[in-house]
Amino acid sequence: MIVIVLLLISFFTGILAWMVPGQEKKEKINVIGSCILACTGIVLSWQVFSMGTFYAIDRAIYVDPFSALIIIVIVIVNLAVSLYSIPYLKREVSHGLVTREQSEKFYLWYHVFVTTMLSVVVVNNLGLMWVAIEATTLASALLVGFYDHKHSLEAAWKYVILCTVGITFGLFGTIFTYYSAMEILGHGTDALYWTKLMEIAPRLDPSLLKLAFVFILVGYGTKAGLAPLHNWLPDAHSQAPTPISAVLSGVLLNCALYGIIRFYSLTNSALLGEFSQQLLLVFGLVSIGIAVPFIVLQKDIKRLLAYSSVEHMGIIALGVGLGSKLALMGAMFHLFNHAMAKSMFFMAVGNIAQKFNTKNITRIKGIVHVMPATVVFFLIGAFALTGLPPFSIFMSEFTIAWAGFTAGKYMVSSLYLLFIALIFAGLGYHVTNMSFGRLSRRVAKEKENTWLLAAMCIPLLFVIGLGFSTPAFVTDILEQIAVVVGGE
Amino acid sequence: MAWMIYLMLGTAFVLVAATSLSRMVRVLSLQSACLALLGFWTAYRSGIGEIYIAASLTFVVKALLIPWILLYTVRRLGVKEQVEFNFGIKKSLLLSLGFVLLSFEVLPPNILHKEIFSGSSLPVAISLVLIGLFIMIARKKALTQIVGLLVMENGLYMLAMSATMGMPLLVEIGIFLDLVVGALVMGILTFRINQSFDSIDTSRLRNLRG
Repeated sequence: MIVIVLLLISFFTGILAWMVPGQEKKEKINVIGSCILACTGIVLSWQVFSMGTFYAIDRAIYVDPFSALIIIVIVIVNLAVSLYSIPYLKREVSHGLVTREQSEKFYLWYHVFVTTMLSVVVVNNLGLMWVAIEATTLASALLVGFYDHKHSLEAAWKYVILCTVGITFGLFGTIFTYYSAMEILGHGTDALYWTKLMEIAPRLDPSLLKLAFVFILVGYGTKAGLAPLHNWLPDAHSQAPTPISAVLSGVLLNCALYGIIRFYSLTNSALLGEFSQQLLLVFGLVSIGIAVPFIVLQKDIKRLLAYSSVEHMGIIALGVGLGSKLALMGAMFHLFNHAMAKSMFFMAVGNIAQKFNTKNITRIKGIVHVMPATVVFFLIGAFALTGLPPFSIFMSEFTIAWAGFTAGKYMVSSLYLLFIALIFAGLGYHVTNMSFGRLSRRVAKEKENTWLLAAMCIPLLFVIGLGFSTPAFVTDILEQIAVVVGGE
Repeated sequence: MAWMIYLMLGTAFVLVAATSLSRMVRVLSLQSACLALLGFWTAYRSGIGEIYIAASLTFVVKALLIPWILLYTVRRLGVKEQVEFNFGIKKSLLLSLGFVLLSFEVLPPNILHKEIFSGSSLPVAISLVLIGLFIMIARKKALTQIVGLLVMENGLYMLAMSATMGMPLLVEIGIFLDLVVGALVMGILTFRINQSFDSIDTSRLRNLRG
């Protein structure tokens, strides 16, 4: 029941925020809805972590520790972003970048978008999961094109077309899986249930399953922004309003990866693990590598962040591709840490870009002089994302590297470390220049909005908290997830 | 009924050669109607009631509703009917023929050893997907890109029908819902692109780089 309630809360927050007149009331509904959603989501996930997998409606709804992790990520980022979007939108309206009527529809689309993401991770049926992933694209397409000017429309068009084409290949994969399962389970909804498929995995036709995995990886990989299928990503992330960029990067990409990882578990328990691991390793490493030059030579700060997302999706794929339990734990921890650090960093960058009225890196200098509070989040976000201790991403990146070396994959792991080091140098150079350079233009210092800062504190808590030490219950949860994902 | 899948392939070639937007949409609707017919035939042969529902949905959504949305968009936008090419018609037709030959050459006929509409529905489906993708790349207007996407969908759907008698009903309904919403969202974006660029030529959407 609680799962249905979770979806309904999110959906009706959107509907209510749309129907109630008056921007202020809409904002209140938005925040209250997100708070309730966060509480419900955390309670649900906690139940799953402590009492095990959760079923409802004749097994059509299925939440295991892996889905619970993504639910937690969604509700936490959602809470921070809901808080953040209120002052952000107000400012865009007052600067004339968005009309009042446009801003009235924002919360509707936003919460519908969140609902579709939540449904991706709670359905047991792989066909319905496909439907939900496609729905996330459609719900967010108009948000990406929210500013309604030439660049954002270009980004939105590319986003919806490329992701829909990509995901069509995902449906191919789903059809092949269904075909091979139908010979055992017969025609019907059951034959696409993930739980059923896992039970009969060793009996599925291996060559079809391999073909299915390739199609799934290409299809959902497009949506997850794995190189070389990531072309839509920098455009969409840089042109969308910042709250949406934060959600796209922190949550949406993970939902697509979720789809890939589900199929990975399936191939793994069908004893084809090595095949899919190889593919994931290649895609992961290429994604990390491709991000390097684009980050080092980047001129647009939001595009820089988008490429950093490509990098981190690559790291997660790499971790899953390494396949050992330790690597899976690292990958899952990384998924969570990246979502927190990236959404926080996006919000900080949004503040700065609004203040300086540009996204051009060379034209933003001396942030520390005008925004002494935001710059703290900005720097912590940047250094966390580059994997510097004592922030949480260091722990997960280190775990993955360690797992790589212990598995004897020296070449892969060394390349991985090399790329990360280069990205550290590039990103570090950019952010220090931006933070401490001489203020090049007259930008007046004014009091920073408390709500914007409060919103960023939510993810900050995790970025710092999980960096200093990993509590025993976190390790326990990660172990549970690794067991599910490993598919044994 | 095997000839029906070849008829679908034939309509894809007509689409590649088409020069007017509204004719393209009508041919697409014909292709979808073929697909619905295949669905009804499968339902009749297998006697599974669910498939009748799925086939009717195919007819209503793919052959009527979506073409109507697209035609409405063409009329409301008041854009020129002329299809704009990146590749000429002759070249396009030759390439499409190449895709078909390639699909039949590369894919062994019996990967799926239990197909309903003859053993070649997998290569035909892949051909349709490739031709759809080609239409998206080789034609400039936003609307022609949507048509290409729908051709890909039709190919996929035909494969699902042939290999697994369609997806489970619940999933089918979900897919149709996505399709309708997708057509609407893309239609809205087309309107806005037309407003901002005074054209729906997607080759102008090339400002974002790096």
